[in-house]
Amino acid sequence: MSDLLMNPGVQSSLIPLLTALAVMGLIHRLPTWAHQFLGLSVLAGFLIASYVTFGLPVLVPVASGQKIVYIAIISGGLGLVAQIFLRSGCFLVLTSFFGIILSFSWIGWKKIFAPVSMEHLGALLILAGCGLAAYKVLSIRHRNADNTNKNDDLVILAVVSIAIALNAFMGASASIAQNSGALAASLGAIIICNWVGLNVPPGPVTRFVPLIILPALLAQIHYFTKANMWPLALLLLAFFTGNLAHRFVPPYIQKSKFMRPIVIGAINTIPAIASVVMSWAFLPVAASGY
Amino acid sequence: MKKTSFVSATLLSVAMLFGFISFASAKSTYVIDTAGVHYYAGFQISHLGFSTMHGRFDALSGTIKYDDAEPTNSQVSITIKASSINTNMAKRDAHLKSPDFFNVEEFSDITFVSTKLVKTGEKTAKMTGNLTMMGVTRSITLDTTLINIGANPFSKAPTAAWSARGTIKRSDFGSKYGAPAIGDEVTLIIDIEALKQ
Repeated sequence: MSDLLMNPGVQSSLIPLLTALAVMGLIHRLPTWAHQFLGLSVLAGFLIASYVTFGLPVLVPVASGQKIVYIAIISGGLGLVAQIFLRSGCFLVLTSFFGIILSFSWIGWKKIFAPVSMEHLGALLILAGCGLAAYKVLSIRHRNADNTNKNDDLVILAVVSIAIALNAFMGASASIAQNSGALAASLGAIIICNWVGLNVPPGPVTRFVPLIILPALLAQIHYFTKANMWPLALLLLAFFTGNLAHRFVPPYIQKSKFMRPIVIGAINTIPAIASVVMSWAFLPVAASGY
Repeated sequence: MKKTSFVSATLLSVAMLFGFISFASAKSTYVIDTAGVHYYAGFQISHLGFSTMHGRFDALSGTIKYDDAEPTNSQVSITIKASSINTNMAKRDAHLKSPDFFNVEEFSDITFVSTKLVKTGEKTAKMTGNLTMMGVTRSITLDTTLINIGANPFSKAPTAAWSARGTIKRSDFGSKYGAPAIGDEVTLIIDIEALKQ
């Protein structure tokens, strides 16, 4: 059993997935008003995966990796505030911008004041991409009348998380890859539940947690690994390729609860795969995984 | 007039006292011979409970303020460039430099500054000092041995050499990734030759 828990693949996939499912099951047993907090399962999955992988967090985080846990907790807190007090799309977007800038800057603050270089351009590109992604996920609505597309944003966030994990692995950091993988698996729990018809409302908590953790992971990859910034910037296009579904996917597939997440996921893997291939092409051989 | 003499005498006494103290605690400064690469900073760590993996850091610098009269008053300061890690495999080195382990982009230097020396033998001592690694400072103790001190037989330059051994837990420095499969306990080996300035 302990061997299984020590397996990096299990730590970043099965453990967060099962944890998120278990937490969702628990919240589902609570009165109906509590169901708006089902998104906390994403945070729970991520935190348990982090605990299994890295142990208890240190009280005073010094290294960027140690800050990720606290950023996750802050993202959950902001999500809860947004869920309870901020219903307007404008406030949600502004709060997410605050969270994104906070998480990115806290991770990369040592590098932010370095002399002007391409690194700063990369950071701005990533921040702008994350901001646009948050704007897209939190404010633009393309809801079908029968609500079949409510999983779309979560599918995109999961695909992007998996691609970030692969990019991090290319950049020689398995720990960032595991964190990103754990986020994807936690989101996967809600996606699966919705897929099989359990109807989990993807409220602000569900969206805030990945939207604020991902910039932190991107900052870590950008500043502290050998990964190139262009594949990371390209990856954020995934948030906008989802719109292609409305143009090119036949209506009967768009209305299918079963087929839609698969098709949306497939469309979003185009920039994700392009990003990973680009990352692989850019990297020196020495930096790729071994 | 008398007051002036008293002040002068006092100042003279203080000056003499400081002069005596300074004479009594005269330390020779030795600088690690980086030009000749006469140093080795290595480590050993368990790999998945099977083999012991050996690695080293190729770039370090430092000074030893050596007190000939009372060696326990000596002070050691060493800085290791974390990015100079070398385990004889480029891909593994890239991984060790990443945020999973040494996180060299975020924490470029590993430093050791001695705080206490306790003599354990004619040429051996336990050296306690502050090791700063990955932004965390912890007190560690190393077993040190004075290998030799004297004139280099070829250059005739006053030279000294020491070795130090010790173990640390990497988790104490916030490096928990892969533990315990990749050992938590790390053996440190430092051998240096230093030239008197």
